[in-house]
Amino acid sequence: MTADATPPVAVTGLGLLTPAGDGVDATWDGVRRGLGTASHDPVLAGLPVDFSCRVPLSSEELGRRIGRAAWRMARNARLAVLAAREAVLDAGLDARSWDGDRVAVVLGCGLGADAEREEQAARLRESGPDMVSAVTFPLVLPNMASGEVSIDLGARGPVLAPATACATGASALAVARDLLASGRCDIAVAGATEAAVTPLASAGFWQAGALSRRTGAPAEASRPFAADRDGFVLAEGAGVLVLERAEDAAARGARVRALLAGCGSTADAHHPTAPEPGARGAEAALRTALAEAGLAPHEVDHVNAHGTSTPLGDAGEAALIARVLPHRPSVTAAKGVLGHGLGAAGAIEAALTVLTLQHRTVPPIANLDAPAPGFDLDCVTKEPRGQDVRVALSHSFGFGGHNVVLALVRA
Amino acid sequence: MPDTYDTVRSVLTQTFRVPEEEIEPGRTLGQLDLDSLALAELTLVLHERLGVRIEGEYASRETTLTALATHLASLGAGGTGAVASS
Repeated sequence: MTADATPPVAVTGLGLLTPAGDGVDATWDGVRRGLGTASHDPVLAGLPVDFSCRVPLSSEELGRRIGRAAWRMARNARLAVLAAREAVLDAGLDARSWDGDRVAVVLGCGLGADAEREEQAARLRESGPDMVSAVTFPLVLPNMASGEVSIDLGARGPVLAPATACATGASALAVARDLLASGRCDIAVAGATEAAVTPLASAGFWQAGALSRRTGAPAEASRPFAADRDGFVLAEGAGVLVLERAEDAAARGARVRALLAGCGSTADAHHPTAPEPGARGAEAALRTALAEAGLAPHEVDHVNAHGTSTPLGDAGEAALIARVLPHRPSVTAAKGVLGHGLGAAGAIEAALTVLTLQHRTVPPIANLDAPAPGFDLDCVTKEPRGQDVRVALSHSFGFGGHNVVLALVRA
Repeated sequence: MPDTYDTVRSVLTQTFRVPEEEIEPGRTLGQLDLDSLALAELTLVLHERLGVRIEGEYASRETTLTALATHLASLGAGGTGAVASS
């Protein structure tokens, strides 16, 4: 270990609600299958980009599972509460008997409850202030998913909601790791949620040139690292991980799915939306994550790439991987299957990276035959690849210039 | 009154997920776990369903379901004033 090394924390629980399915097992099955999940979306009908990747559960069904408190929760909070319950159960913990004072919740979102915000704005416009709901702000505050998870689980330690756009989920895990390392909590429920597939989101990202326009074949639209990629696909979902100090997990005999060994968080300080051409900030995040883990670049077996399927973003990331990890670790990008879950993506992908380490399986990139000419990457395509992955990186980058790289290692 | 009581019942079960078996005419809104935020939302949903706006004192934590339904009926709820059907 180098002088920079930081003690790893254990990942003891996972919870996922994604376009590939309801729960961790369904998502893992769907991601291994490697088929895009995007389809035409009635909410986006008539817009230039009218498709998205949706979690296959209605808000009504999510509310039914949550129970009486659901009426005041936006869809993003509902996804978060259910993913957090799954993660805590998976960790073998019981929220009724734990010491809630020592449990942190670090759970953010990228956009927030935009569908609910747009609905209330329409009520104000069309029917006046009498018809604006008193729960408008409980619905739309960006911290409310973390607040509702805290209430649901009786978690009374530090509770907060990081916001680093499409790196939010990874930032949440990095912050949670720090809270554990500094002794601020004993258990951290960490991740992110997003449910912001709205007409405004589609129109706005379309105007920015960020979305795929493959309206004739939505399921084929998200194609990270492909030569003919043309943008990302709006998606929703939630991913939650339960983290504990490794010694605490061992002491209670918990099953450890993987270790979070290093976190690198940097910013480009360059441009609101364009990645820095030299990717120096992303490289620094990668090197910091490895240094904290006490690992060298050549020890990386696998990269779960940010891979959004945008022309510029994927090119920058491909060049970064080829330059810093020239030994060609396997590369996957879950957004081919799941679309871009915005703030939630980093947490969902960290969970998938944990599953890759645990099951020694790298899922394929959907809609990819071979990486674009000029990308010197070992992309996994067509079918899952069995690989003895011991060290894996999960990349997340966000508007604002945020770069977060997580180093995960086999337990 | 029976019509307005049925509307109150359906809002409580559908919007607030109060179990059907807890709903009795003599129960108060507070006994059904509706807090001040929920009471404000209840007022809005009833306004949408029935076209009448009730003042806060007629939908407090101490208000029984019977009293609420009776008050709604006295306002002529369910007439032609409904602003939305949802």
